Amino acid sequence: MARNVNVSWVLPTTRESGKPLNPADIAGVQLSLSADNVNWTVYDTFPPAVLTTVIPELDIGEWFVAGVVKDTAGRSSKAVVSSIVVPDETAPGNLASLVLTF
Amino acid sequence: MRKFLLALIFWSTFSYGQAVDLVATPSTGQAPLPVALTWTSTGVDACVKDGVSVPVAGSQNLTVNATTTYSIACTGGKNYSDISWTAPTQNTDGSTIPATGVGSLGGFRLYYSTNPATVETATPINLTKDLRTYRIVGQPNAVYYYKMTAYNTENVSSAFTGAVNNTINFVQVADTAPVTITAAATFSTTAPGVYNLVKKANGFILVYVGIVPLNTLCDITQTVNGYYAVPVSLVTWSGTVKPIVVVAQCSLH
Repeated sequence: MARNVNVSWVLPTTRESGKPLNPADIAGVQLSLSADNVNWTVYDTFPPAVLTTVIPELDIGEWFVAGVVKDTAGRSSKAVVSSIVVPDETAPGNLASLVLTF
Repeated sequence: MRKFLLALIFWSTFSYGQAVDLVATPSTGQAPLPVALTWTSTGVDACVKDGVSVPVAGSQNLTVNATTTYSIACTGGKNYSDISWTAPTQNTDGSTIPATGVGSLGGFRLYYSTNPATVETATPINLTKDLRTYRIVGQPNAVYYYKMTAYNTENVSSAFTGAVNNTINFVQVADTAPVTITAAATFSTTAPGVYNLVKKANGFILVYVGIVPLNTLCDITQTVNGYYAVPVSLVTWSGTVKPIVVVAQCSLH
């Protein structure tokens, strides 16, 4: 059964160099989605003021979400990847067989 | 014996050069084949194409998946006659026919035949005194001759009216347009990747979930943005996500 997945993130306060990052220099966050952690599709890009989203109705299985921060100069952070397993909450399958004996 | 004076009036003479023409363009090709059916006609009143009433001229765009013969049938003219008459008001002696009671109008008899010499001996159609029109339906094509008499409550009949005639020319014409499918083209995958549709706020994205063999047949009825459903039973999954519907790039080849 498909499930909605909540995604939230915290914006960085420093650059890779360790020096402070001016919040005004952040252009936004790009989320990508993958079903195998190899092949990725850009899901959406969010402005700095948005820190959560919901990915609706993901099918059963393990999903991977990657987040990349982009600055106003077009530079991108390394991707941070998280995964979640949408559990299979369907009922068990039928008995393979049912035998009656005396 | 006093007799009625009776006048008989009517008309219908039909003669057309009926024809209908049904054309399929193109008339041959590979499935699924877009075909334009067009039809024109002359001298007809109504048409039926493949069991459905249609205008006497028109067109229709179809997608043909198998060899099919389309047909149209049209009819022109009428196979019935409308007859009208005026009732007599006087007897042959000039006296007025009473509105009611003895000697008043009793009814009419309508005689018709394709032979003018035998009209008066044909079996009449008995018509009540209140009728002034009558329709004879289902007449085969021919020239028909008609006469009438009126009679009173004493069953005294008028003389026959003079004969009138009309021509029934009811014509049915038909045409067919075969469309031949020479070979069914394969609508199948052109790339191995298959995708899951994932919703987002303003649409959806396609997320890669596995592969299918090239030239896997695609379901032409399930499509989104140029991608078509393929059988999940043929998918080699790349992860643990195994949707019940996946799509792939497909084309006709």
